[in-house]
Amino acid sequence: MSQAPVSLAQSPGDSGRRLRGPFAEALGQLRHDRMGMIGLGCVLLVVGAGLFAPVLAAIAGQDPYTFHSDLIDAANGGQPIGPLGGVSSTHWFGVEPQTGRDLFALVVYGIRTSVLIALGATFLSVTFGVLLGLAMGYFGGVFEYVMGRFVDFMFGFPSLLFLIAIQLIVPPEFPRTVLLALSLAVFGWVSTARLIHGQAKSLVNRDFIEAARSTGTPPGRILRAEMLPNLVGTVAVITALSFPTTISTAAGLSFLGVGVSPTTPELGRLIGQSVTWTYTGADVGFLLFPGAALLILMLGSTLLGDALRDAFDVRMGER
Amino acid sequence: MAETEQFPLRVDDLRVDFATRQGTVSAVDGVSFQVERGHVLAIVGESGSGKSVTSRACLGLIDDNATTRGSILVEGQDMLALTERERNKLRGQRISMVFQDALAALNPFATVGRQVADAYRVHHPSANRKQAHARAVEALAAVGVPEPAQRAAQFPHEFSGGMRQRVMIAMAIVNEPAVLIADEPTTALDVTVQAQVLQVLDELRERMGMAMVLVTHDLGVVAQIADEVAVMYCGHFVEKGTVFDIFDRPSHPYTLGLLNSTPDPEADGKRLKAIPGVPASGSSRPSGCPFHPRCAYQPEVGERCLVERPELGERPGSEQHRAACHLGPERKLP
Amino acid sequence: MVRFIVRRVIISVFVLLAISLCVYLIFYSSTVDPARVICGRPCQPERLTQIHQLMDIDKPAFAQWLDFVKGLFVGRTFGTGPSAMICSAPCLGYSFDLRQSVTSLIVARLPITASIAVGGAVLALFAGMASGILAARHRNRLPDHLVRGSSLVLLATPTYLLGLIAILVFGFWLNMVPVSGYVPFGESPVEWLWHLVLPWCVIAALSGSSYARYARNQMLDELGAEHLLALRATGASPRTVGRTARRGVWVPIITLFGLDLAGLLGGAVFTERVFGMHGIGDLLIDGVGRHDLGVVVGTALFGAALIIAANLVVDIAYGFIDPRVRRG
Repeated sequence: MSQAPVSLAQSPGDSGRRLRGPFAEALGQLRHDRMGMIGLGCVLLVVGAGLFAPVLAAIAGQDPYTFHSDLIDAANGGQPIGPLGGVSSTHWFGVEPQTGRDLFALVVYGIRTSVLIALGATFLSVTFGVLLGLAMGYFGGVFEYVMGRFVDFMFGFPSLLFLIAIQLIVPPEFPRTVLLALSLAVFGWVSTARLIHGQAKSLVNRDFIEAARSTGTPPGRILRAEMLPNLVGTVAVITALSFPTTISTAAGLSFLGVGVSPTTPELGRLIGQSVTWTYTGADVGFLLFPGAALLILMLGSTLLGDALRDAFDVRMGER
Repeated sequence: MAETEQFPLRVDDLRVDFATRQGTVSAVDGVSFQVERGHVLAIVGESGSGKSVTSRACLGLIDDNATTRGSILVEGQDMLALTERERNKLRGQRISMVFQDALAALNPFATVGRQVADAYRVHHPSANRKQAHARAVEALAAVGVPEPAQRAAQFPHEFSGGMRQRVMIAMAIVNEPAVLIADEPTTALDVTVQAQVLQVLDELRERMGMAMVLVTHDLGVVAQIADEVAVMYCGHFVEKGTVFDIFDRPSHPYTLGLLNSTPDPEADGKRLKAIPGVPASGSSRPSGCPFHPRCAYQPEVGERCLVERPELGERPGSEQHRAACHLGPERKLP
Repeated sequence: MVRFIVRRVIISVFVLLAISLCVYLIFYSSTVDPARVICGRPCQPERLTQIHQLMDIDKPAFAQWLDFVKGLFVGRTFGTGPSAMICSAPCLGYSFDLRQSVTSLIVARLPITASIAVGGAVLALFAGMASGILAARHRNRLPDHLVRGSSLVLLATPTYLLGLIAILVFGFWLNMVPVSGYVPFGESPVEWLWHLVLPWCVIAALSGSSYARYARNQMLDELGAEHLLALRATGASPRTVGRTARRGVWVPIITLFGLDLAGLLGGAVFTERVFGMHGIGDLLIDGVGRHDLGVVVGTALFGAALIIAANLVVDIAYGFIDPRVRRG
């Protein structure tokens, strides 16, 4: 009996050390991962451009809303005048066909929209997935079984089709960016829950959790103080790896014309509009500038995610 | 020629080095032994001592990232000097191997009859399916699988652990090899089943006159079946001799430690003693005698253990009895 | 084995019914009224009620779902008299806008989507397997670095972006292949193939990368597996050993392939849009654009059915391939 307070007093410090130790070590290793650092650089570059979009646009002396009808050839279907879609010293990336809006401003504002949607969706889906996975692993029993079947079912679900379909039944008044983040989260939590469930389950059977349980520590405290710190690495890796997928899908929906509203600058929407111009090769810049921004962001976050995974030594999925 | 017939397996100064990121790691460092027809040599040691690598090297089954030197003569042919093609003619035909974990070592997708038959057909290409199958059933019967004809059609997961190990043995002896290497063949099994499987191996050895190498960490198994014993530590043989030499007059402190940590049914109430410290592995090898950090007799000898590696030297007992220890042949260990 | 199959089939049917019920409850209880789209503007209330009745959506969502299930098995008729619209079984819904059953719309567009998806998936499978095994065989040497590097880049590239870049490079700059459009096989097999080469290659590059990654790791696992060591110990030739290892890779890859094939309907949405082909993905996007709830729900359910059917086939195939699954 006299030992109980001792082990209770020790447990927070213990888990605290657990948290700091491997975490710092992993970050240290990450710093020496060249590909990971390149990835981080790419992500910072593009995300930074998105976050400071208004500043950058102001520096360029442009905004994404002003039409420049003098820069497009109305007789030629609205094709921008000049090389690579009208690149010039005032319009760094040229202008948008048909409207003549500044493409540089559209791209940086577009990054902003894409990144915000993806960040929101990733945050929601990871939070929900972690909570559900933890609960499944901790409580077990019927709850675990039923949710496990549900997760299996959702795993093979044609989520893209339903993401598209959902856009139809939400009233047009509902802000599209929020809708996109929400609906991406609805289908995005599955793999997180599955992975966390597996890890939580193996943690539950470890001695220090058993010890905490046997001393009567309430479940909420065990989940928060004992289990979560041990899953921090996994959660970080999941977040980093699901971010590029989410960005790609979010931009993809707008590419298909079912995402953000047509007036919102967004990377996927810009690429979607460039399709017909690409067929004829009339405005290559309209594809290349937003495309490059998206590709750099995707590649960078994938490299960063891979590096994080190596640093935390997390085995993803079944293989 | 008579020599190779009497000793189907001769290993001379075998060295296996693995190239790793941390540099070269020596797993086996100058090991020599020979096994007589119809005899059993047991190689004993803790995990990481290099005994499994030695057994795999005998079949030339070492990964590409390792360099193997020395010679391994299987009926006079040097495994290490042969081409892979020539080695394949010997493997399974003149020298075979039984693995520890039969569940992992058998192909889960094929029936056991098919697997034994395939092992036969590799070396008898002229045999048709039917003949090979008949031979497989014979081999299964020989290792004591009941109703071999019916069970041949079953998959590995449908067998019990002991029966699976018998299948593994059937696969190894289907071509009546001269040498059988058994790598921890009973470690994964229950004690009662262990005895049965050992008996099967012993009967086969006697009937076919095979030379057998038994790799194990279990001195109980050694006492049951072995004729000669080699004790391995950290890539070296530290003691070898007949089974009586080793059990009655252990001459290396490590052998003594192994014996003291094994339950002896005759010495009732005697406490088991564990060997202090952790086994040294190839990458963190101590200087001098590799056992010195764990050795209770090191203070008796002194500095020499830390700087000079002892060679195998003659010891009282049979004429094969050797030990690698600075204590010398006169010092009798308790 | 028969019991195993029957159980799987029953479960699959239940899952499908559950999905369709959820979809009906969500989609037909929403505040968006599909009748308004048909009604046009200005829309008289009487006409709206009329349309409601015609579309059979003047009842609760659950009752509508029962109608839908009935339609699946025996078909449905909307309206009466000479203007009645017949939707024969299996009726996946009706597009009042296009005056066609969703089933016939899907059937009409299936060849396009199937051409893209099946061809792309098969090409991806073989290209991915070959490069993955090549990489495993030359682990940590040049082929391995090439395969791993390119699959890393490709896996990070969205389908639509790679497709557009491919069009720009091969279709426009190099002028090797047509940039867009689809020609039915029956019309001209050569043109059919010619128009499909680029989409196939894009799909092969993208999903092939994940096959390559998977095949590489699986092959390395296999080559290190104890049963291969045991096989080598019997003196089996390197060819036999290689074949056995590859078999160990094929089994899980085939299951991946089955699911991928069904999932490609999702991917087809992008490929069809990029290459200007009017397949099932285009049908869905078009349905969203026209606010045609019948088409959207029908297509999405068709996609779900495909996935579940693929899961079923893969499960059963696994039962045949792996003796452990059958009894366990």
